[in-house]
Amino acid sequence: MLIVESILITLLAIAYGLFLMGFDRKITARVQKRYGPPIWQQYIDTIKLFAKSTISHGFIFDMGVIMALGGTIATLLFMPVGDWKVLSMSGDLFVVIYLLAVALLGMAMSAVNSANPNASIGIMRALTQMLGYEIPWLVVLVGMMYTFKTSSIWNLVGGQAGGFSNWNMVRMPLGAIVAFTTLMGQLGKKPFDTFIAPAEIASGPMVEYGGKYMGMLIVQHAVGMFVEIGLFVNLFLGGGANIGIFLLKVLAVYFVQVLVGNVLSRFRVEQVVRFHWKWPMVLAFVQSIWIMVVGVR
Amino acid sequence: MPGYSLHRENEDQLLDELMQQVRNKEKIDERSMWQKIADWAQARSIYMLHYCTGCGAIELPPTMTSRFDMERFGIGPMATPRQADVLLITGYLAAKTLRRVILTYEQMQTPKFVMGFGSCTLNGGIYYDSYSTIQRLDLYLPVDLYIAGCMPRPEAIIMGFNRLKQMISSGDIQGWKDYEKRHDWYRKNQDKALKGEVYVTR
Amino acid sequence: MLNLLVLLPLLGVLLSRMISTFSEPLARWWSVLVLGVNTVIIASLYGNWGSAVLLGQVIPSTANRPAIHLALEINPLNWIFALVATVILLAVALFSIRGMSDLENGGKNLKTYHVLSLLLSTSVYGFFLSENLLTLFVFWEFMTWVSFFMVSMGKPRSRSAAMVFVTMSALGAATFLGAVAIIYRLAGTLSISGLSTALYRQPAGVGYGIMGLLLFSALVKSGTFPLHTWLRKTHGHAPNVFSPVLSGLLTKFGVFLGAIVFLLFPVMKWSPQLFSLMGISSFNYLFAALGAVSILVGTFLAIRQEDAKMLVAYSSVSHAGYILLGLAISSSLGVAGSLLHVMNHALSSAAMFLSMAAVYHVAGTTKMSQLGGLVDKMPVTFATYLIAIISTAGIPPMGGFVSKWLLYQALIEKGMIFLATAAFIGSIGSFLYVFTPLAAVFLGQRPKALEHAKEVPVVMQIPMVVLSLFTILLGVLPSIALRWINGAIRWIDPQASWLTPIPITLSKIQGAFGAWDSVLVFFVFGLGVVFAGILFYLFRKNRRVGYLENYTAGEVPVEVIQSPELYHYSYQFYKPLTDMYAKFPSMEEAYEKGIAGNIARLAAATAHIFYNGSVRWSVFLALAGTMIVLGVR
Repeated sequence: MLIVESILITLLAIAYGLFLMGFDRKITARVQKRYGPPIWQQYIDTIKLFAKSTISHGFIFDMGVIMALGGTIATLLFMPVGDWKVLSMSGDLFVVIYLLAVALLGMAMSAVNSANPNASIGIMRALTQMLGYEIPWLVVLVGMMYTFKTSSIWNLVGGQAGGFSNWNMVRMPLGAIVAFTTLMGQLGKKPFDTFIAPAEIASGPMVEYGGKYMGMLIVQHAVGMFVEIGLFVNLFLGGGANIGIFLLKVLAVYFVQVLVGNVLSRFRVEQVVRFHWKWPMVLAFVQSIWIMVVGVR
Repeated sequence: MPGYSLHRENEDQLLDELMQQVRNKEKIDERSMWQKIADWAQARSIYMLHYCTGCGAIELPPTMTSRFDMERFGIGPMATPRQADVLLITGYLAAKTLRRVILTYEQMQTPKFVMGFGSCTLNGGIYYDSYSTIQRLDLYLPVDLYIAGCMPRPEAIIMGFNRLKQMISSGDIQGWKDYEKRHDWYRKNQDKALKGEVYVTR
Repeated sequence: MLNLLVLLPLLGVLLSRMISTFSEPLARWWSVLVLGVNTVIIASLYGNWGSAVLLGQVIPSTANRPAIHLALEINPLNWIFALVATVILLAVALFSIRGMSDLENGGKNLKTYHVLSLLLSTSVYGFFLSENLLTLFVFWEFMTWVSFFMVSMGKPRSRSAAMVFVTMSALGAATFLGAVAIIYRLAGTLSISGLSTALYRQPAGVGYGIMGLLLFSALVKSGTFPLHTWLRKTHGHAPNVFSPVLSGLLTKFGVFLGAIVFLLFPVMKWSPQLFSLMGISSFNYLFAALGAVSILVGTFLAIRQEDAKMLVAYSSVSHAGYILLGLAISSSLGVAGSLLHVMNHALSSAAMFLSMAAVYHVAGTTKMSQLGGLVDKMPVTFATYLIAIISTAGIPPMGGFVSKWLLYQALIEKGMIFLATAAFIGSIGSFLYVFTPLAAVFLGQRPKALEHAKEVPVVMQIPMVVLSLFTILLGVLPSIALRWINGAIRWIDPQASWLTPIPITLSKIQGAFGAWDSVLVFFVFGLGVVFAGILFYLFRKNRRVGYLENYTAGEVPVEVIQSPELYHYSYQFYKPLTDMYAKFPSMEEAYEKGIAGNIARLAAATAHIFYNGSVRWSVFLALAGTMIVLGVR
C-alpha cells in the first residue's frame, strides 16, 4: 500500500512540477510580451532528454544524480499534500528540511565529479547561497514551532484550521514575507539564481549534464519545487482541504514567485548572503520574538 | 587561391546514395515505436548551441526575443554542447575556429544536428577567396540544413528550424549517423584544412 | 576487572618496548591486542556498575575526612564515554599498523610512538573511569604530558605547537586543581558520584565559583571558544594518526568534565538563587552562549581553511560548541542530545581524520589545492569520508542528524531563538566546510602526480569501514545508544526531578514537540533511491569519458590545461563568502600578540634583572638570595 501510494504521489509531484515549469515559461513569455511555448513544453523537453544518448564522468556522477532524486522523493513522502498523508504523520519539519539537504549533497557531488570548474563554482555558489537563505527561514520556523508547540507539519497545518484569518500568513505576516523571499532562494528564482548563471559560468552545476542526466535533474527540480512550495503552502497558507485546493495554492504561490522573479536581475553570490542576513533576518527575528512573546490570538 | 584544395572526388556518387536513402525512407518507415516517440519529442524540443562566429549572431536575438519568439516552437538557447541538440554555425569559419567547432560538435550528445547559417557556411560568402577560412562547412561536419542568405532574416531562421523539425519527426535526418559512418572521410577533410591539428576527445 | 583496564595498557607499555627492540611491526599488533582486550572488557562491563581501588590512600584519612584513593568506578554515564574512547583507540591502533607514513623516518620515532600511544590509552581509560576528582586530575595531567610528547613527534616544527598545547593545558590544569582543593576543603570528599550530596549545603556563590573554575579547564580541553586557539597549531603539526585521537577523544576529556559539572553538581538547588534567562540559570546561559559562539567561530574558521586536517580540526571546535550547548541547557533533551553527539562526533571526526590520514599516506599531503580526483583510486576512503560528513553535517539518515535533532528540540522547547540560530548556522555551515575536502580532494581533476595512487592497505581500510558502519547504525537505530543514555539519565537523576529519560521505542524518538521514526526515514530514503535508480537505469546506457573530456568553451583541453590541476577549482573554495569576514579580528592573534607577546616581554625583562651579561652580578644575586633565605629562617 505504501509503495503504491508513494509511486502515485511521486508521479503526481513530477507531473505537477513539470507543469509548473511550463507554466513559468509561459508566464515569463507573457511578461516579456512573447507568445511563449506551449504549457506542456517541459514534458516534451524531459521526454526528449531521456531519449538522448549520454556520457558519464564516473560512478559518483551517476550515483549523485540518483541520490539527488531519491532524497527529494523521500522528502516528498513526508509532506502532507492536501488531505493526502502518505507518511506525513510520522514526519517532522526538521526531517523534511534536512532530507532535502541529502538531495543537494547528491547533486553537488555529482556535479563536482564532472571535474569542470564551472560546475564547482556553481556548487560553491549554491552552497553559499544556502547559508544565506536557510537561516532566516529556520528562524521563522523556530518561532512557529515554539508558538504552536509542535514540530510536526501535520499539526502545524491543523493549527491553521478555521478559515483565512487563521492562516499563518495572516498571523505571521512578516514571517510569511521572509518565507516567501527564502523560498525564492530555495527555488533558485531570480534574483537568487547565481548558481545557474548561464552567461557567466555556463549554467554552473549543469555544465556537463546532457541527456538523461539532465532529465533526471529536471525531474528532481520538479519534485523539489513541489516540496518547497508545498511546504510554504502547508506552513503559511493553511495547507489544503483536499488535493485540488492544495495544488491551486501551490500554483498561486508560484505565480507570484514568477512575477516577482521576472522583474528582478541577478545578485552576486555575496550580495545574496548579505541580503538574506540583513532584512529577512531582521524581519524573521522580529516576527519570531513577537509571536513567541505575544502568542497567537 | 586558398592554401589547400578540397576533397570532392566521390561527392556526386555520395549525393546519389543519400538521395536513394531518402527515397527508401519515404516508402517504409522502419523506426521502432520508441524511436518514433523520441523523434516526436526531439522535433518539438530543440536546444540550440549557437556558435556565433560572424555577423550572423546579430539576427539571433530578435529571433529569440519578443518580436519573433522562437521559444513558441520549443526552441531555446543552451549554454554547453552537452545539453544542446543543434549546433548553429552563424557565419564564416576560420580554420582556427573550425577546430573548436569540431570539438564542440563531438562533445554533443546524439541525436545532434548541425545548421549552417548564411552564405559563409555554404560557399564562403564574401570570404570566398580568403586564405584562412573554410568555404564549405559540409566537408567537415554533417550539415543537416543550410539557411541561405547574407544575413538570413529571422523569418528565414524560423522557417529553417521548422524544416528541421519536419525532418526530425519524419525520421529522415541522418547527419550524425553519417558522421559516424563516414568518419574517416570527414576526418581526412578536417586534417587537410587544419594541417593535422584536429583534436578530438575519443 | 576494572583495574585491568588501566593496568593492562600500563604493563603493555613495558612489553611493547621489549617487543619493539625485537621486532617493531610486532609492537603495532601488540597495541591492537591490548586495546582489543580492553574493548571487550568495557563492553562486558555494561550493567556491572561498581568501583575498584587502583592505589590505596593517596591522601590519608584524618579524623573527620575519609582517605582519598586512586580509584576507578564504572557507572552508566562514564561507560558511554569509555566505550566511545575504546572504539576510537582500537580503530586508530589498527589503522596505524600501516598508516604512520609521516612518522617513519628511521623507525626510532615509531618505537617511542608505541610506548606513548599505550601510555595515552592508559590515561584515557583511567580518566573516563575515575571514581573521584583527584584520580580524574591525575589522569588528566598524565594525558596532557603524554600528548605533549606525541604532538611534538610530528612535523619538524611541531615543538612550538606542543608548547602552545601544553601552556593552555597547564592553565586549565591550574584551575582544575584549585577547584579540586576547594571541593576537598569544603566537602571532605572527592567522589564524583557523591558530589551532588556532598556539595548540597554549600551556598550558590561558592558552588558556581567551583563550577566556573572546572569549566574553564573543560573549555580548554574541549577546544571551545574562547580557548580553542591551541587546536589549529596542534592539529596542524600532530602526527596524522594522532589527530583522530586528539579530536575524537581528547577533546572529549573536556566534555566529560563539563558533563560532570553540569550534571553531577547540585545545580538545581543553586540555580533558583541566580536570575534565570529563558528558563535556565544565567550561569548556564552564559556557557550555552559560549557554546553558540564556539559553533559560529568553528564553522566560519573551518570554511576558510586550505588544509583538510585543519578544516576538520576547526569543525571539532564547532561540535564541541554543540555539546556544551546541550549540556548547559541541562534539559532532558539537551543532555541526551549532547551525550549522543559525543558519540556521533567522536565517530565521524575520527573517521574524517582517518580518511585524511589515508590521503596523506597515499599523496603525502593534505593541502586541498594539491589534491583531486582521488575517488576512482580510493573508493573506500571516499566512502568513509562521505558517510562521516553526512553525519557531521547533520543530514539523515546518519547519526549526526539524530543528536542535532534532539538539540534543536531542546533549544526550541526553551524558545532560545538566538542560540538556535547559531546552531542552524553551524549546521548549514558544516555542510559548506565538509564539502570542500570532498570536492577538492576526492572529486574533480586528478593531478598527474596522483595518476598511480592506490587505495590504502586493507588493515587501514578496516577501521575506516567499521567507524562508518557505526555511524550508519547510530543513524538508523539511534535507540541503541539512546537506551544507554537513558540509563545514564536515570543514574544521574533517579527521582526524575529535572531529567527524565527520552521516550523511545526501537525506531521512534519522541522529542518535546514531535516524533520521528529513524528506521522509517532510512527506509523511505532507500525507497526514493530505488525509484530514482529505476528511472535512471531504464533509459539508454551511458558512455564513460575521461575527466579531461570536458566542456572548455571549445578550447582544446590538453592545450589549455597544461596540467589537470589547473582545471580544478579547489583553492579558496568559498572566496566570495570568506572575503565577507576576512578582516574579522582573530582570537588566536589576540592571544599571541596581546597576551603571549606581553608575557614574553615581561619574562625577558625579568630575566634581564637576574642575568644582564655579567656573571658576577648573577653570582652576587644568587649569594645574596641564599643569605636572605638563610637569614629569614
